[in-house]
Amino acid sequence: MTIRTENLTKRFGGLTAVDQVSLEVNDEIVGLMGPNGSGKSTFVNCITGVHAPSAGHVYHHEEEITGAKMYEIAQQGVARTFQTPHIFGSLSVHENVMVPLLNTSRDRAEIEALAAEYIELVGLDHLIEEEAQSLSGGQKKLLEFARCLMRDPDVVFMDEPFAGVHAEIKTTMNDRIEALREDGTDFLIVSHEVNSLYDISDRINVFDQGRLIVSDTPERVQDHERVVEAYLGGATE
Amino acid sequence: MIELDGLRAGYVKGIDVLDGVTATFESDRISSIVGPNGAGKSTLLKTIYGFADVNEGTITYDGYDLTEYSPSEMLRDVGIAYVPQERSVFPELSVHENLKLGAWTIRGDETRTEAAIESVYGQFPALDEKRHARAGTLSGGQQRMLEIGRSLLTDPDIVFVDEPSAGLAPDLSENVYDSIDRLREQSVTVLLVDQNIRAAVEYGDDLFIMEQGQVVANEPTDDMTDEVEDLVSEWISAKGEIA
Amino acid sequence: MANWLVGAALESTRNRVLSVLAVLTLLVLLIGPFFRGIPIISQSFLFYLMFWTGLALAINVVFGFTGYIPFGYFAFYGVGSYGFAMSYLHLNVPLPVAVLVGGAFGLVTGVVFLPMFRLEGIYFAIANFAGAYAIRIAINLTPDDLTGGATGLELASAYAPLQSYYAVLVVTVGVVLVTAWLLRSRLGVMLMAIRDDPIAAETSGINRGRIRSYAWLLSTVFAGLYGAIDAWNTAIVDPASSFDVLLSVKPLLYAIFGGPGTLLGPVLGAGSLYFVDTLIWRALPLGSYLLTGLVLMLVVLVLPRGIIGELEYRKLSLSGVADGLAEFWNRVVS
Repeated sequence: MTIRTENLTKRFGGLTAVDQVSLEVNDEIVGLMGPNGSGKSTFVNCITGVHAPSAGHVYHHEEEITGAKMYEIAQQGVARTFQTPHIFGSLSVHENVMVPLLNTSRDRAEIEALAAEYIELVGLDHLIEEEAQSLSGGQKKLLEFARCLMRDPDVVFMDEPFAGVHAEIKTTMNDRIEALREDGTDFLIVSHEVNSLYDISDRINVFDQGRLIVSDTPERVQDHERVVEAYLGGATE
Repeated sequence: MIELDGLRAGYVKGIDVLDGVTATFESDRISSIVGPNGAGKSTLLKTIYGFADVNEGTITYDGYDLTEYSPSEMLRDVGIAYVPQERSVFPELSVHENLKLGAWTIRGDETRTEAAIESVYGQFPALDEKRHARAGTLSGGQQRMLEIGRSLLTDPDIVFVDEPSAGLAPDLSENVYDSIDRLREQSVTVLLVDQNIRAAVEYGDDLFIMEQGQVVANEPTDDMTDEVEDLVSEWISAKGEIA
Repeated sequence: MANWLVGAALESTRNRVLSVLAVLTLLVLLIGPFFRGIPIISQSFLFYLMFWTGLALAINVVFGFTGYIPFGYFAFYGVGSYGFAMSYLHLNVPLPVAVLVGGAFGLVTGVVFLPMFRLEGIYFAIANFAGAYAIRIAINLTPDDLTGGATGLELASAYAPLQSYYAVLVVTVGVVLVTAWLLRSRLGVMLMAIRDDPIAAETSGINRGRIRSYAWLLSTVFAGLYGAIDAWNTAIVDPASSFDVLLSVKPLLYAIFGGPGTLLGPVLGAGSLYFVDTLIWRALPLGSYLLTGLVLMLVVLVLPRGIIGELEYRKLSLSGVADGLAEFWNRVVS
């Protein structure tokens, strides 16, 4: 079981953003969808160490990582990307991708070569010496994606990877994700673009108001009444 | 009424979030704008208000060319108020101080300011009870009401509300929608962006459906109550085959 | 190490020119004490030129690479000078060893200050200053025979300006080399990454606290060394002058003026401003403060990236320099 959460809960003051969510990611690409404010991003943040959960547990290969620090979780092979890409603006594309391995004992030349490989993989090799700040939004997302693969993670959490990117970049990302899946990397992808999600996911989880309401195949999720309810918003009582 | 014609707009040069929007929002009615994520609903309000760049097309209101006005001028000169999606109360200031700031553009006229604030307290008794409480200590719903109340101080003709109930529990939402309902009674035109489609249909008069940067349908809400379920089903279903 | 240095020096035309200039400067400094009769350029002038340049570079390791502003930097200079004085007077260690003891005092005090990094921005700056000032006051309360209390210690027997001159030369060459290394090393890249986007750095597996502490301690060691050597040069330590806040403000100003986060920046900044400072001091003893204020305004208004920063921003070409001067003029005039 690559990732397993048990009654994961996160409260901010009076608001329960994530409400006792138990789900698993194992040998698959899992999609995560749900209306705005349903707790999807917060859930991913709780697993990857951005927030410490208020209650519940997170297990990575059955070892508890609940509340661990972001860098510890990253070092253990749990990678993630952000809705707005976090990149090192003043460093070159090449240096950006090298960063995750710089505080390991690996040889500098080795790190440079590996980074160049990943940069080519995402199609940014023609920009390899450019300052990262000058890249477009979609290119920055690809850059962040390449960087997060450097430590050879066994699972990658992606928050809105397709939002605001051109079709070609979407295709590149999709192809890479599928290829990595075949090599054994698991994915959990949060997205509003349900079409892209259905295409790529083995299974879809649907959140509503912090709770996991449906977990099923893409075909069945679309027709599921509870899912339509969630997006309708429910009456105001 | 506000008329949009062929509106193309965005935040970054070269990328149009609004892809040719044509629509008419009638006065003294609540217009609800709904659509899937990324359709451009928030951007529509922001663009009309001046927070995003218009690349092509026109926005007119009763003869005013709205593209000429900056956001602060919209409130002061045109009479359109804006309640954004994000929290916009000043948490360290009291409810009363928040309201006084909302009356900034009429602050020279003390009598008018006081009368306006008392009127807001009349409409929102919950705020009256908490006059001197720090705004940050109010519940989410009360803060939203404060934001709406604050927007009314300068006696605007039109109010834009972006996601009235986002992040609010259902019982708190009801209060917020009731207060929006009362606005119509005072001849205030309301443009509402809402992802809660049921509420948008229940409280709105006219429904505008946006998809991918365009308004694709526009019906009175009374005609739409049965169809919204199908609409949402369509939004979440795959277009074409699943691989 | 030597290979790397030579490699870097020969890397580009710019580097070759700078390396030649650096070697020439080094030669001039080596024979500096033996100049006679040149106005202004006395041994003392050269000593303090190196001193301030070195401190600017050392504080740059924290400020330029991590973005934290250590207003309490004078504490490390101060404990370094006291470490030097006490080990010499009470333990009779040879003077060069006493200098190293000063550096060690800087290191240990730096470790004590590490928890402050949990604070952000201005809170860190204030806490840093408060901690440093507390040390200064604490010294007043210590036994007279240990630290000289409020009056301080006198080291007449240690006075050896020629030796302390070459000591400051060695340490300054050291801090220049360390900065050059840092700019290209893994540690340097990680520090710049942390500064650019702390969240991206953490998700990349970087323990921000630990990496940052390496830069911090490097910086405090050098401050301690400089404190020790200055005590050697002046033969006096006392709470007021060893913990003078100008020892934080001036290096920061020089680094900011020249261009933080670079090697050339603090060197240029310190070099030019110290020179001007000396000229002013001869005419107007309190002019130092006036100058500091004026330069501060200048930087904030016109050169927010520092000289080197602005030049790099405009890509250091002749047309770039011309454009830069034109814009500078516009901003001053408007």
